[in-house]
Amino acid sequence: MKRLAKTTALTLLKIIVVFYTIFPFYWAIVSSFKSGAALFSVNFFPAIDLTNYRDLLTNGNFLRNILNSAIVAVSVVTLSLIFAITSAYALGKMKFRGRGIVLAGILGASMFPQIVVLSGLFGTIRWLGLYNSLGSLVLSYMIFSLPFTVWVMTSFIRQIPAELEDAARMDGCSTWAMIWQIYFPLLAPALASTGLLAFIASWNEFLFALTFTLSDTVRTVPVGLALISGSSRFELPFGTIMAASVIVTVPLILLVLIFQRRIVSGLTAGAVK
Amino acid sequence: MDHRTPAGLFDLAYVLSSKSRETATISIYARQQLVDFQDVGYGSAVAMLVFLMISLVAAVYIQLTKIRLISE
Repeated sequence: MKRLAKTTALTLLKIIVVFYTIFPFYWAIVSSFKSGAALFSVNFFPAIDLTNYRDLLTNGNFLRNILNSAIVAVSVVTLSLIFAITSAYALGKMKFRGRGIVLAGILGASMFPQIVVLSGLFGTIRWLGLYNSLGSLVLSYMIFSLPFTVWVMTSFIRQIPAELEDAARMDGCSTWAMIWQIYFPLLAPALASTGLLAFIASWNEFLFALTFTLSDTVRTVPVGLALISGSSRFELPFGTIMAASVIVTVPLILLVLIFQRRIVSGLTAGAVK
Repeated sequence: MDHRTPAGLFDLAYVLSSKSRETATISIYARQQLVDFQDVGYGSAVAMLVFLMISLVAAVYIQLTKIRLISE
């Protein structure tokens, strides 16, 4: 009897949690099929009407924004992983003075909110001539993707036995070849999980994208979405906004579903020694 | 998704109610000074204050919980 009560309570709790997390997305999908006054009436199963999607994909810069986001996110992930592997090798496998300080510094850099670095970064980007270009976003997103990827990679690479490296050295393997031919395949699960998290963070980033880009054609999706406006200034086109958010969320859901197993195994892999 | 959002909450508050003073977070206030009002000095001062407050909280937290950050 007691067990039955426990299972019922747990199931109820699960249902509440799932409802709480899924419902907003469901409501976005439902609202994306509506337009005009229908948006403000409660209707849980409206007819599927793709007008908002058609408007979104034919007018304006929405496709361009998606492309920008994809370019930025893929560049950030690629560069972060290259830097993370190489620095993880140095921090995890080589002995040198100040290693702990470097690691603490990287962690410390990741602790502060973006607003703290905004003004300094703005000056740097202007100085580099990257203002209003995708390069500025790639550069600034690395600030939050690198500390995380480097830390996970370092803890992961430390568990790989040193004998492997000794054997490779005996066969005349150079350090560079060792990183890419021996450690790279072994690190694949960690690479998949951290890469995906870096991708999601870059895809969703808002503050830097809002500040460092100006023209419609260089904007990324979150900013483009936030700045969608209606035909008059008193109209907020919720239907179009919802359709845009659904389109933007789909790639992330697909990626997470594809890499689901690897994310979990990659995240816990560095946890227990 | 960004693991640093809570202390520097920006996106949600900005998108939902950017013009309201009641709901403006410290990040929104600092960005307003920096970008909208072009007052780089004052905006940076606000940002540095946030930096100091977070450092203080982090230092106290690390001391109290005796977390060892670096395991050599």
